[in-house]
Amino acid sequence: MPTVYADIPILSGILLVCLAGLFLILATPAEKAARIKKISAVSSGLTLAAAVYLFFAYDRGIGGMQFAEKIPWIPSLGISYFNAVDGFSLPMLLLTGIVFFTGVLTMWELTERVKEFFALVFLLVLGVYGLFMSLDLFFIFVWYDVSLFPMYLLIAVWGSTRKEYGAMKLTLYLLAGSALILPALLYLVFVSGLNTFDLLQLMAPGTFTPAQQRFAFLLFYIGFGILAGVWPLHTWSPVGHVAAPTAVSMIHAGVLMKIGAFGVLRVGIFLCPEGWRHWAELMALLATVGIVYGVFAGLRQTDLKYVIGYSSVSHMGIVGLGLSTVTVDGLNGAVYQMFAHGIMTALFFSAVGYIYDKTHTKAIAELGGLSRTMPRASAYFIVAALTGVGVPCLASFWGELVVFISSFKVYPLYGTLAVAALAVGALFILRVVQKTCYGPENEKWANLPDVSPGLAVPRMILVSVIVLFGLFPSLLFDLIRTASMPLMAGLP
Amino acid sequence: MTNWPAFTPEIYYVAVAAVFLVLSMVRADHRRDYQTAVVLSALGVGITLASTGITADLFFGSYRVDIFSQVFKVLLACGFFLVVVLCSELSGVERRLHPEFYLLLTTSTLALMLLVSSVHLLTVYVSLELSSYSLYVLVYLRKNQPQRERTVVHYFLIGASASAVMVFGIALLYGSTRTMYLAEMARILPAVISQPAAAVGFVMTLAGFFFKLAVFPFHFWAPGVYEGSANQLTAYIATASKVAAIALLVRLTALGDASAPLAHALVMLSIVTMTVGNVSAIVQKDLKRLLAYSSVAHAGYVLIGVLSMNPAGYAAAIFYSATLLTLKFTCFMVVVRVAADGANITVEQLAGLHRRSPVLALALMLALFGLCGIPPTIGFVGKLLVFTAAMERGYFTLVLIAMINVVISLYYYLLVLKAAYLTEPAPDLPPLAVTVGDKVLAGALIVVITVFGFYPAPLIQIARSAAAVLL
Amino acid sequence: MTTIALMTDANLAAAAVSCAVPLLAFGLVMVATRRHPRLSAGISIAAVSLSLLGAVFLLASNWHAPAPQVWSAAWLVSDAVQIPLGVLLDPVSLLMMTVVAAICLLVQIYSLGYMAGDPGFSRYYAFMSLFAWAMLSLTLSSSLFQLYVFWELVGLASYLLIGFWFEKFSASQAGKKAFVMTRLGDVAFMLGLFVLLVGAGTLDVTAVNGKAAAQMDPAALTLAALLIFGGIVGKSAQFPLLTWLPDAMEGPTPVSALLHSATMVAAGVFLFARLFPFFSQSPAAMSVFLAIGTVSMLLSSTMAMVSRDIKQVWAYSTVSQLGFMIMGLAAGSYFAGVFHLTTHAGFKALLFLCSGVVIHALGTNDMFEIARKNGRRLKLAMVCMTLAAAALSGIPPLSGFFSKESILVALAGLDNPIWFAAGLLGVFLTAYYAFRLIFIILFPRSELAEPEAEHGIGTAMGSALVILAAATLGLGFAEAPLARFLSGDPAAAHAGPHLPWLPYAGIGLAAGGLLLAWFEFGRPAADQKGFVERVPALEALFANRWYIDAFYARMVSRLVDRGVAWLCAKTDQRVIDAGLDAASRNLIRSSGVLSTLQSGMIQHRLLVLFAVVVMLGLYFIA
Repeated sequence: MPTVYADIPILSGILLVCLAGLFLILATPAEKAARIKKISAVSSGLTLAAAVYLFFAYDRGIGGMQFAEKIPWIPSLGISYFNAVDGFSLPMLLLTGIVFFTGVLTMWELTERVKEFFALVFLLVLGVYGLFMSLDLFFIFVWYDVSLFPMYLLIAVWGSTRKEYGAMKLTLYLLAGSALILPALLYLVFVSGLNTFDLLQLMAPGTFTPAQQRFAFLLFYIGFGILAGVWPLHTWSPVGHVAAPTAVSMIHAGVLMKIGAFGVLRVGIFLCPEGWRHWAELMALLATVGIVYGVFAGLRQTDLKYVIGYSSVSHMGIVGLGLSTVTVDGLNGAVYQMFAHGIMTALFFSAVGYIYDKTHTKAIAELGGLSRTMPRASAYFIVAALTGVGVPCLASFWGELVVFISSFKVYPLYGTLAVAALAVGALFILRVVQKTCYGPENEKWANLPDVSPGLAVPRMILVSVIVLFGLFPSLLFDLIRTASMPLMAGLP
Repeated sequence: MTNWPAFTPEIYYVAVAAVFLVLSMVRADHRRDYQTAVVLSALGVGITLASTGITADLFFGSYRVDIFSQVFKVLLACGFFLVVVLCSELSGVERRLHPEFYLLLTTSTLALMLLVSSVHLLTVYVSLELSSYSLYVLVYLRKNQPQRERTVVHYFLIGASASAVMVFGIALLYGSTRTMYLAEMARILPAVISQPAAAVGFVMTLAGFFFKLAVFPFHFWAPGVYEGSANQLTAYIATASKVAAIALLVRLTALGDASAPLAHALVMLSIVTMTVGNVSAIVQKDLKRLLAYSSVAHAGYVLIGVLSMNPAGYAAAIFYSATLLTLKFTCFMVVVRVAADGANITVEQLAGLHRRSPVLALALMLALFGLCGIPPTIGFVGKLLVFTAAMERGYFTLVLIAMINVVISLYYYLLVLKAAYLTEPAPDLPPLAVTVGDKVLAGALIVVITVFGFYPAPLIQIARSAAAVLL
Repeated sequence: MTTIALMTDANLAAAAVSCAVPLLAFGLVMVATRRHPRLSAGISIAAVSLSLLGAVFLLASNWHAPAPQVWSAAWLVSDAVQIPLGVLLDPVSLLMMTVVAAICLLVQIYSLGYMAGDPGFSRYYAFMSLFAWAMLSLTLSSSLFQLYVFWELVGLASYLLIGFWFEKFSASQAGKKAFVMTRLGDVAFMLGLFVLLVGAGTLDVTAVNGKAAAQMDPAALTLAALLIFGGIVGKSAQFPLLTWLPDAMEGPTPVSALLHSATMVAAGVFLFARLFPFFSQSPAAMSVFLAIGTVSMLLSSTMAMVSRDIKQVWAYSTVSQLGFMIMGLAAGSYFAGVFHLTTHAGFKALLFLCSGVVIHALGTNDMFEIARKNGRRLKLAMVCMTLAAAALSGIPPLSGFFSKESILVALAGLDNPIWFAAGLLGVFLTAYYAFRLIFIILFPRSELAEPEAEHGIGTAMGSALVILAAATLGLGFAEAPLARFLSGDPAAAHAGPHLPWLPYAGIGLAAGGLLLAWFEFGRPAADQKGFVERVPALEALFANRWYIDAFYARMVSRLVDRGVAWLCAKTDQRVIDAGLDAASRNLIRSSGVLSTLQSGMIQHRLLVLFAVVVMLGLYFIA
């Protein structure tokens, strides 16, 4: 894979914009909420623009790592500030940009401790961007944690149901993950004997013995897997989602969970392909359990956000299943599904968030007839639901289809189970739609306002993205292929 | 033939001590005392900084001035200065005793400076005792603390026992190597370290520093003393004295080679220490007690760097001492400022800090995440270096256990954070008296914590060069 | 598909355009013209008429050159997985496309009157366009993945339309039921596709019908066939997934007309026809299909015999007619099945539209109610309905007669006479329940004293009825040309043995059914109680759909809700979470213990201290 260095450091630019936004927000007095929101909107918009530019400027003919920037950082440890994007990270950057921007817009009506909220969100997203573009293990870990620790406050301060419990649980869970990742990283760095944290150097074939790879990969899989909601380490995610405020749920389910899967891919699979092969069977098993388990557990939930939380568990299971096939198709499907699921959950949570803001309840039983009172809000909800059900020509269908095919070829049984879960998934999501949106008009909510045009903007963006990539999946697949094919070709 | 300029910092602090001796005889005036203390300690920082370049052997080679010692002297001077700055309202100590407080603080610092330079076991022992004794008295100065006698006695007894063990160890070492000069010993020890006497003596010699650093089983004094002494003093104990202890641990362990039994013993100690510290900290209500246990845990982490017994490890330990200085001090700054009346504060009393003083709250948050070793804070770099060193030796399990400990510690750090950020302040609370100076200081600390968390390369360089002279 | 081909090739261009315009209409209405009902209706009707024009043009231009034409381009290229987006023009797709476009157009025109003043008017037309788009694209799909995509979209559209009046619980319920039950079938379908893909290596329709499948190992082929048929069972509401269709009439009546005639359920049979060569390579599978078709046909007929709801009767009849088609196809007569599909589309749409008129006018579905409110005064509607009912029961010279007869011929060709017998029984029952309904409405026992004011049905609705009635009358005579068009030679209409008596048997049984209906419901002395209603147990059985629904409901609640789902949810709370929480609680407790240990008496602490030192010493000495 060639590495093309950038003339203008656009990637660092993205990070700098986030930083600048952060400092501007910190510099603005807390009373000036409106200005803070404007600042956040503008800077998040800038990052989105940059991400979109990269998405189209990336030369798919050459492939490999592009827009690279490399500065020696801590020479004594062989740590360097090394950013670049490839077919795997670009979709993630785009996803982050979209979710970040729309997330900021959805929180436009926030009134409580606005300054701190946006500051923390910026910090979080800074970490996310950094992680997706970084190719240095040190920075990957740093960004990973940077993106995690704001979560505690974001949930505990601005959250709702059982927020402190949820926040604490989530933070401990995820930090426990990083407690496995760091030793594994250091382990690899030292057995390599190269005294470098540079991912590309370390991933050279033959750097690690199969035994070492098996060992390290397992740690990476568990460590990052926690964040990806791998069964049975998923229980933080429903609780966390429920507790978190809208934008945070959006960013969290939309982007953070992807960090987990991306970490498995970027660190685990890139560095330890042998380990990947060795544990693939286990991954497939857990992923399948997660898929089936998620939909069934979701059936029993009475809280809207719990439902979405469990559907996320199930959908992330599909990502895991794709990764576990050790095929180009599996990788493509998984990465595509990561993107699609990110957008979908963002829409889901933004819709639910709006409903919650207005009705102050997430209890499915209390809702109903919303399609009359707030047609737009419920329309977004329904679109998200249908995407979740896997309706064709809405983004996530393609990811699922490709994953299912490839997994069916490799693990017929798991593939079959995963496909079968579709039917239950349809049942449980449509049930929720029916109970919340349909039914006779509920006089309790009769005079609630519908989504205002301003607040409709972010949701419309998400919907159009879903439809766009639903109709033209190749936009993304052609890009992902440029990364997945060389990766698989390079495998011994 | 003694190269006196090399001795300037120590002389300076002797002079400072003299000044406070005089002040303690004339009528007390805490404003004046405070200002003089600040000015003098600031000067001290400057002098130590100036003297970093020097290398010299003094007093028949029993006292060595090199980059290693000077770096630590700078750290000590900084610690001293910072603690003094906190003493604006030294309400934990009676007004009339303020000069004595400063005096003893100075002598203790002086002793620690001698300590980091001494390369002869006797000088080591003497300076260690000097610093300890001034601390015993300092602890006693705490006003309206009913149990202070008890605290001091405990402190003294444990300290005395530690010293006893240490002296015994020194004796054994001398017996098996026939020398007290560390340099000499470095040559002879590897040959004889296999003999039990030498090994036992070696470990026992470390005991004195285990005591200062509060390594299990010499940590029992920590909670009581942290709780029982004036907040500023606690800050001092938690920062400066730890730094010196780390310095000597490094200097001494540099003697022994990484022979298996020694390393294993240290591994055991470090694991037990960090676990005991973290687990005990979880239920603490008193913030200072909590921090006491957290420093026990940190002693465990430091040991990881020390026991790696390789340049990386020593550099890591040195870096870690600087880290601890910054982070612990930040926490105690918050403690001192929140407890305006100089009393102890519970975790709950931090409630609504984010309202009462956002900058302090932010500093506290970063310090806590730093202590927990979460990037991008200087604390993370410290841990990373320590773990890297251990990994070079292949102590994978040790690192894993340490990381698990980190997760445990996160729990109680988050509890503190929760109090500071989530709970609203009680309505009748007065707004915090945070001067501009404090704001600046807090800001500076925040910058140090984050910037060096992101770009630690220069500090690491210094630490490495300091560690280099040991070998 | 390459733009050049789009420019140059008239066929391709026409096909692409006629598929695409409804989608554009959908988007336009959804985004822009929600506020302007008339405009939305105009847009979507214009779009679908354009599609119809395209379809007719294609049909005409290929009438004499039915050689299949394929264009295809990459839609999604992963690695081994490649999903093309293509157009396949061959007789069956062309015929189906035309039928679909025509029915959609008529229904949309009809809806102008029927849905007038509905708050969701625009939304309705948007969904209609979506439906048209999905169905048209389905008919032209060149690969099975593409077909699956639109298959799902058809399901989506029907979900939206069945649940169109979402305030009605029953409506949203029915929509959900339809989606989930068909989804069940689709799971099988998808798996079938996977098996086929693994076995044959391609999902290209022509390839699958050609050599590709032939090289498959027969077991895998049968498996694939059965699984794919699962999809058909779901969509075409065959046994055992037949219960969603009767509920689906909760949607607006025009929707039912669309659903039951040419789009949703027809899709299943279309798929059968589309893959006919492939299916026929597995005799085992074919016999299963035959059995399923027969069972569904008979079951649903029995259900229709006791229902009082006119739409429901027609719904059951749809199931049974679809069963008929599948029987025909499974019996090996490609033409018979497709021909019946075509004719059925006509008269079934007519039946529903007529019922729509009645319901619209009298505001009730109950046939006795309608009779009491003298529904027979709605002349046009009743005439058309009777006509369509006659076609349904296979009375010559109406279209139904011809198609049914050709199916019977095919059945007679089988060596096992039972299928033929079942077919004849079906004919009898069909005639019986169809005319039961007609007679009940035509000869009311009690009439309201003063007849209600005559609802004038608008030209929009009327015209649709007339056109369909004409089709019902005429379509039968198009048998020979259609046969030639579909399968090369006009003789295909009568594949199988030539039995001169057979038509008479068919007619005879139909007449029998009709007479029985007359005897029980028509003649003045009749007390309008069918022979089934005289046996309460039997009536209950039929009325409760052989308890299939009850069975499913129990399964879902017992097995899914209170079974697996409960288990999973509880595992989360009671095992995983509880475990972690317990672990952390214990940690905290131990922390309490530990910290008290360390604040004990000084002696103890010193003891520990020295003990440790001694142990260290021993450690080194040992």
